[in-house]
Amino acid sequence: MSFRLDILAEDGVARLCSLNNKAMEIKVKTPIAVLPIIDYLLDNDHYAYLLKQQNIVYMTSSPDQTIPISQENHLIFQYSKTNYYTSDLRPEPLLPAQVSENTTHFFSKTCPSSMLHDEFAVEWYTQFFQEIIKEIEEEPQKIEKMNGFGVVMNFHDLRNPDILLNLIESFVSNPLIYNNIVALKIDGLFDKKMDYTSSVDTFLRLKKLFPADLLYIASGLILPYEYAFLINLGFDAIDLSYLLHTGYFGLYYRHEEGMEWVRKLHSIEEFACNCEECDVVRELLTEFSVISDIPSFYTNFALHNLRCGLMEIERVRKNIQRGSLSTYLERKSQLSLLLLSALRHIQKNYPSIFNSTQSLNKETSLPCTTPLSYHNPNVEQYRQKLRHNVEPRPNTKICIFLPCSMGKPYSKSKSHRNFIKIIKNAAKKWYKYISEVIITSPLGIVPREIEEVFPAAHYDISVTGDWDAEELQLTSREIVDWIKKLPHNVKIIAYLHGGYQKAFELAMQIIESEEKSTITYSIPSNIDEFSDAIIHSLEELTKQETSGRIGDSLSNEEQSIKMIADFQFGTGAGTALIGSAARFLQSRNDNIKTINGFESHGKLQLGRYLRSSGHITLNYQGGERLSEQPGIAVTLNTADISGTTIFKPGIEHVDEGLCAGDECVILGPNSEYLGVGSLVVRSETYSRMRRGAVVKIRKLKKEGE
Amino acid sequence: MSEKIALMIKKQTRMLRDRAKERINKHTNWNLQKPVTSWIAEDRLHDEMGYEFTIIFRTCACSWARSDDAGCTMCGYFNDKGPDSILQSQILDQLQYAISKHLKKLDEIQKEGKKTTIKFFSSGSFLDNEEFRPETRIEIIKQVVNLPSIHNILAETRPEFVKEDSLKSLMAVCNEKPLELGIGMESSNDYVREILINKGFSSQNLKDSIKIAHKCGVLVKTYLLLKPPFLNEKTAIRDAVQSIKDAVTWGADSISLNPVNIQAFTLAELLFNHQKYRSPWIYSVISVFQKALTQEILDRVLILCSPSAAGKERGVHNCHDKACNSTWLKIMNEFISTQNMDIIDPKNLPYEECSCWGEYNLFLERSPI
Repeated sequence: MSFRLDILAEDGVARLCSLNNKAMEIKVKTPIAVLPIIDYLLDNDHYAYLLKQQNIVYMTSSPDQTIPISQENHLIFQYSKTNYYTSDLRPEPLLPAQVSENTTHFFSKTCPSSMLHDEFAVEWYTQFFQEIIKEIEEEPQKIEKMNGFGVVMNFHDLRNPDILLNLIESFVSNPLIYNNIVALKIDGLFDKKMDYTSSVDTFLRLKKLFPADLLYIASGLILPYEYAFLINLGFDAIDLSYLLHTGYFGLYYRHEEGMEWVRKLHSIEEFACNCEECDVVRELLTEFSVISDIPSFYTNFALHNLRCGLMEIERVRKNIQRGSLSTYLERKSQLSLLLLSALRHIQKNYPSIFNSTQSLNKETSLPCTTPLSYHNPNVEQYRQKLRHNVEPRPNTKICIFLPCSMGKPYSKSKSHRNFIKIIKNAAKKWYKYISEVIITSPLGIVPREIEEVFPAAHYDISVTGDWDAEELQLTSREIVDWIKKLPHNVKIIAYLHGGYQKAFELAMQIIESEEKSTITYSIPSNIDEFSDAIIHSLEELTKQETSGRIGDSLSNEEQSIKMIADFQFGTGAGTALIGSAARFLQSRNDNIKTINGFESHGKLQLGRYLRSSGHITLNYQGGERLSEQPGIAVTLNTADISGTTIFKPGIEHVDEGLCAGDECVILGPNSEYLGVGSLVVRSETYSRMRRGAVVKIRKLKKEGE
Repeated sequence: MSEKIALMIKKQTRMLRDRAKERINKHTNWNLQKPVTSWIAEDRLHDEMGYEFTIIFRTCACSWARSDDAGCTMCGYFNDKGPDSILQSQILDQLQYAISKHLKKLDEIQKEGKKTTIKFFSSGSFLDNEEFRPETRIEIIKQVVNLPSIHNILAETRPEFVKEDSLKSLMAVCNEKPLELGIGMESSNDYVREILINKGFSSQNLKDSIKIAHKCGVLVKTYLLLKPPFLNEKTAIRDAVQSIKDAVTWGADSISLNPVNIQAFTLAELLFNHQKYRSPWIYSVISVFQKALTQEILDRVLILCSPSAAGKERGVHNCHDKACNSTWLKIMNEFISTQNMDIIDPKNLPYEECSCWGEYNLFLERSPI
């Protein structure tokens, strides 16, 4: 009896799944550590203790291996027996005679054990796949009883792993495999550190061939600092065998600094670790002076390394839960050039995979610590949404550019409170015709109306006043795009200095060269000039407009709701949502504002606005108003739904570009409106998964409504 | 399906063999009057400890390696071949050289009251008429059979050359001294032997030749390979254990377990250089003996193991620690010389002495090679 994999949440490509085994009532969460059961170590108390931990999976090397009874409440991944060929050249069976309730069987082939060359490997895999399919065809009841199986693929001595992709594709397209495979263990793909980036390419290509609800296990020569990166690529489990090996080689994992030879660590003080194994070593070192005299000394290092690996996986899991994996990864990459180049590689070459899959429904802080953060997926996704979804207020007459502030959201900071006071004093009744835009790095620009959305209120960057070339270029690009969207004849006041000013001036140069026309703007140098500039601009404005009441009639608050909705759901969503009028109502919870339409005496709830994430969660009526909005709908194949979750088989289509955690509108088979919910998985995962939850329903049409 | 794998292995082996040939052809100054090497050392005989007197002749090479099938994937003895034009008289000269070199030592052994086995190796087949003409063979035996302390004679051959008439003609000149034929059985599994080792004969051929030998009153010693290329450590142990059991049932009189050592211009070396192969551990050798042998088998069959390059990177070895390797080789040699199962009883072995025992256990469970 194997496990069932349910995707619980996704953070970009990385995800949080649960592995359920109903028969034994086992439930564990990925990313998970896979711990090898080594008979030799079973007598060791420390190892036995590690095995008792909750969030791990055991791996045995053959069905014959006995598992101590105390460990039966864990999932077990089990390899095929060592197999070769009988004398009449027939392969030995890969399937075991019997599989216990909590065990997942992994097809693995051990002979020939190494690849002579890539051509040889193609032949090897052809045989392997044929053997698997043949056995499954011969024993369908057994497979049904096993409830899924895994496959071990070994890439460690392939020069070019890509040559296997066609073979694997045809293997997976076999319905027997596609319907029953639950796990894929990828051995040795990331062994060659010189070809790390091409290994990443191979893995991403490989992933496309398999269903999405598959457990990916990374194995081979990988060290804990790589875990975050691999999990970010989409691995769900890490095999820790190599860490044990390193211990016996005499390598000691120094947390963030990588491996170090034990023989180079002379004194006790150099074990900068407080784990139990290191304590044992410290004690032993006081008794013995020569390391090699100490019996089973290296076991302690192996277990120390193992502990480091387990801890790292816990950390990564926490970060996925919080939605901060991308920043964690940036921090990790500072410790290893390998990761740095790999991360830059995926930022540069796979924006569609890693950036557009980022949900912005988060509350975590986003420290931008390195130049890598300029292209952090959250940041990129923000820029993308701003560029495509958000239009400046149509009634803008004056656009004021302001520098960012340390405190977030900006309007709560001292400097911005001051700016707002000055602007209000200067503008008086014209205040609603002034739009404020904050210039910042690495986000580019943040219009005042959406300053609370993630990541505008959550990012932080160390400010020195010096902007580097990339920052200037990225920011000016955003300014250019925004100014191009502004109505004609808008007065531009840029109360900026230093890098902000440089970025702004660069933007002006770009516009001049692109539009072949000059734009007039003023850069006041102090507060008084700033105030004067606003008054001066307004005077000109009032001269032109005699009526005193211009164009749009929406209030500032309505503009804000509209722009947030636009940002979240796409252009036009705001207008559709608020209709002719709407307002915020502060709820009893400080964090929540309700959005109310003016109908039913202003009590028609459209949705709730969460200030901590700047995210709107829709109500039934709010969803109804957005039911025509393109790009946010989930279409079902039946109108008859119950419960709180919609699963894959009930769904006809999920609009492209939706990410996990996004709000969505649920439509019936004839595009009739049914309710609102939020997505569990992104649209791309949905299209490749075989089963599992897709949408969590929030509000559904009631009977008779 | 396996044919394609077999073809690739064969092709690669042939390529390496051609490279070896090129290098050998550059040799000009052969000294064909001398054998490749010869030595006298302690050895376990069927009933007691004694000595071995080994002569490795330089001939025109093994028939299998000469052929288009290019030889075995782990065997580099081809590199010791002489020119194709080598004369039979030169082979006899080589014998004379070895005898005169070691005659004194043989005398001493006789005075000690010990016995000696004389071993004729040629890195090929003693019974191959291309390498040794029938009259040369008879001449060789005639010359050595009456040397001091010589108790029995051992020669190596591939099974296809084991013919009744040639054996009988040899037995006639053996002077009642036992003649033993060493045959490289390598593994009892045909897939391993024919495809992975590219050995070129089936189990049936082997069983037949054992029968012929026994019929002529000739003893048979089978060589088994521990960890041929393309088997990982765990499978290799399984294969060797099964092979020992099969060799006993097929009628071998003595079994020599040969852990693979990496020789020049072989497929094993190619894999080794690309870190796709590791020569077996000494622990594995002990483990094979523990699993395969019983007192009953030891009573009937002599178990031998004299690995080349033992303790070195290219031979059977544990870790890089010299003390560890020598401890375990000593245990192995002690077992071979006494044929006593108690010596390799797990309870009596110093497993915890070196850290590499843990490493070995992990390697066994987890390593793909």
